[in-house]
Amino acid sequence: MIRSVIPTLLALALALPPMAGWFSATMPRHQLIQVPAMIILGACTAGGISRTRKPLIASQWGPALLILASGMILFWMIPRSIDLAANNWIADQVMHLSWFLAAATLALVLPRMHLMVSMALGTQAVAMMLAIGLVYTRYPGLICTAYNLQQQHYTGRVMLRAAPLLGLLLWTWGIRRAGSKG
Amino acid sequence: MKLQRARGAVRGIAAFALVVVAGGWWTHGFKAFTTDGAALAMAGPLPRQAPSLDLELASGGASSLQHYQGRWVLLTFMYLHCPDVCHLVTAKLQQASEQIEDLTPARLIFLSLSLDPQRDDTGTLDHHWHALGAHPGWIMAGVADQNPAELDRKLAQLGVWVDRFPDGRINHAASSFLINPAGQVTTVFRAEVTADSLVKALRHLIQP
Repeated sequence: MIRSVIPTLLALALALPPMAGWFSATMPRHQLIQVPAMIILGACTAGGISRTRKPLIASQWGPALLILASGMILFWMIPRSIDLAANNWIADQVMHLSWFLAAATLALVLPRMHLMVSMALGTQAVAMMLAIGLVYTRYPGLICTAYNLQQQHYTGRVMLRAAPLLGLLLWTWGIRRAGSKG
Repeated sequence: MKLQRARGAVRGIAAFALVVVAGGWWTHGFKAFTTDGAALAMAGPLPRQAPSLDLELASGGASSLQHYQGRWVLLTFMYLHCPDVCHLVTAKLQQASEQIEDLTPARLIFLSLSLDPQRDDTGTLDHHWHALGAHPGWIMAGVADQNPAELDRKLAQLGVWVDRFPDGRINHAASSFLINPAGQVTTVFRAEVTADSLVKALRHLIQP
């Protein structure tokens, strides 16, 4: 239980003032620190939930939860949604909660599903990160209007560097897991 | 076991339907993913009548958007304290205005409106206009309507969104709106359009 409480409290600390204001002030802080932190903390929280409950949740609600979690992630990747979160405190909190819950849900559901599902979703996430990185660095206008072009270009450059590394980590993990099962 | 799988499938389909419906609603039918796109979608299809806007000209005196009916108007919005995008758009307009001098000001007017009446007074705008070459076909002005809510309502009719921040930033649509001689918005040029593409499109529309 304590393994779930600590990451939840940390996530709350990141989502509420004064930390939230600091993270939301610039695009790199928001997209390169706060969002990944919420994802990791969400996954850690799910990891701490009693193992006896996991199979029940995954088998009965697995596909629905997977789709809802993916939908939440996609929603907060829409530039208009990020603008809304940057300009509205309530929307900002909903966004933090969404990333946290989506990550927790995926961490609960994906281990019970075929490895192919995890690999497909992971590869898609890496591809999207590359695509967003390209758009942020190449597009001459503002994608998310709450920030500025300099921040947008910097965020894009970091995403372009991080995506191949994440892809490498994902496929190393996937191959090792497939090998251990086979 | 079969019943459990069927339930799982139904829940999955319901979740998928929910995601599609919510995503479709938020993006105006998967067409508007940015704040710009959403404002344009909410303003309605083109062509649409441009709203009436009262102007304070940088060169002095009052005017209005309607005053320019009978000519084509390429309308853009900016403010001089903008950290980046406005200046990129202005630089592009400067390039474009030099390439299309044969049509301005007789048939086409470039109209740049400041959304920052407090800081961009007519003197400051006039100084900026001269710094850009004082092109006779390029008019700079401020909006005379001092009520932000009323102004934002009019701008929304056009497809322009504005967010004013306490630190002085005024985030706004960076698109350019082409208004025909009848006062209707006929074309919206996104901020990323190049000067060459803009000039080519303007020539095509004005001299078909």
